[in-house]
Amino acid sequence: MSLLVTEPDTAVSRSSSPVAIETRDLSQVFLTKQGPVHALERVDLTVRRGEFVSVVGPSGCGKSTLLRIVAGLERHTFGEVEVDGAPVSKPRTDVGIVFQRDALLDWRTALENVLLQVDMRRKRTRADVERARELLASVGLQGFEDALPGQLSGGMRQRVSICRALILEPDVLLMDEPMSALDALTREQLMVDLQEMVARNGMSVLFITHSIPEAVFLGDRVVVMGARPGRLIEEIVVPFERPRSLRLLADPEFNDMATRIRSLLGEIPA
Amino acid sequence: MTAVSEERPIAAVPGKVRPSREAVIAKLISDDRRRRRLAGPRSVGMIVLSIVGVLVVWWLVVVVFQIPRFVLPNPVEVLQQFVGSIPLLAEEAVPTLQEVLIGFAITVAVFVPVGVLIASSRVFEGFVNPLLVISQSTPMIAFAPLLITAFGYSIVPKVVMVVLIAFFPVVVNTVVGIKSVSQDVVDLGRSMGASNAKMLLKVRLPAALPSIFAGLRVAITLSVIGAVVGEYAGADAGLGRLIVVASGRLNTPLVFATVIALAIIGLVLYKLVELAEWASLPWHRDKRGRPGR
Repeated sequence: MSLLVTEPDTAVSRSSSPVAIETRDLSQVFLTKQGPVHALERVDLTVRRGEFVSVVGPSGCGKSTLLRIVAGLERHTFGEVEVDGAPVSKPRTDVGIVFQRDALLDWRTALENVLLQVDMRRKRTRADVERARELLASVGLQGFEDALPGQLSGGMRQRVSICRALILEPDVLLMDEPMSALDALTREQLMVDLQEMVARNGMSVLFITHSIPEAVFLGDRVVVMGARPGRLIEEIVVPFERPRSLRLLADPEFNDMATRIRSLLGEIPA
Repeated sequence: MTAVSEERPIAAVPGKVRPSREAVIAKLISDDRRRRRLAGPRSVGMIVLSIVGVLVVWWLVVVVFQIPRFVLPNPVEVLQQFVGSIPLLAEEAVPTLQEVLIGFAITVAVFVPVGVLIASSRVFEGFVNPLLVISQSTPMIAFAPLLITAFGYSIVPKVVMVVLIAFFPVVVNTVVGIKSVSQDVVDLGRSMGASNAKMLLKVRLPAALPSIFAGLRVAITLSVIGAVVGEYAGADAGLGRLIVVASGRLNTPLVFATVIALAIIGLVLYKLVELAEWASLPWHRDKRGRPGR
């Protein structure tokens, strides 16, 4: 798959495409001093290939746990989890992950941080370095390749960490509140950029957030979760055409949808 | 990176002609330069002043209470002795420096890896931690005579003493540094399929370096103490032995001159470690600032 090819599918054609991520009857129980806690309860979630699924929910609803289980970073208690048709039993090394905090290494430059993904697996080639440069340039970081993370702003650092997740062109991208540490303007710009990057690579994305506008703006589908126990409340198909512009944030239809999700989450009375 | 100045609003004074923006900015810059000029020499001046103050008090105490020379010589006598004994002190400094440097090198070579092991293995941690705690509540100095019995009048007991006294901060800081790596970074490594060895080399060790260097800075000064203690117990050369010999002959000015020599060695070695840290951790410089202050 090339970075330059834009996949022409739409939400409609995707609904019949093969499954990228699937959880069936997934439950997660943590043992605490107060006894067992149900972090996730019977979660059935499907992300089709090329689909962008946003998961929105209050803090403590287990949405981050869900992502960690899909990534194979955490064992689950009950149910089945499959990525690309194979059950997840150990950390998946073929998915891209972006965390809330950028988790950049302070002593590596922006370029070197992106290439960490390569260095951990094999010897890097000149093509890898070229690719890393291209990626950084594509998110507006040309000229900052040799900057240390300490010299970059929060938004720039998160862009670097996204490039690190993308350099090996994973089919599946997992993002855990990647924008919640950023200021509002940076976040909006990054939403637009992220949409473009995902479209370019044709990836399947599981996007965890607690921001409703983010979830709706980016998602083909929004999955709404409730807390204690963490469970799926509702799935909403987002019909807006892509590419979506920031103007959508002021669209009445967009706001209706956001309001509906808000009432599902109990933030405003239904 | 240096900020031009702390932000200070420029108040417009009523009734006066408003200065141009350029003039105001020029004034800000010149004020800042002046502050900076004053800041440097003033801090150096304060150091000199405090040292001179101590020397004056010392001198007054000796003169006023008529303290005999073999109990406490006055600072002028000590300085004369120091200058006059420079060849002797330099000669005796060589074996002491050898003990310090070999002991310090062994401490680093052995106890950084021990720290890494403790941080990476629960089992190892369980075995070693109690020993570490016990070792720190044991006065290592007490072993000095035993070391002489075991190893004779060679360099070995001194080096062992250096290691015994200096290893603890190295181990502890290595463990803290290795464990400072965030869970996110560890998870990221797992998702990249990184082996434990790669994780250690590319992530944990570099992340631990600032903390390890903090341990080395403490360890190098302790190393000097260890060498002197080792020589006290029995030696045929070195600054520690010189102190024993000089005080046995009631040559107190020479004792003080030797202490000064040891202080200089300690300070220089400390600065060298700091310099090594500054040179090897460019990404950490802003947080710790330039050495040499």
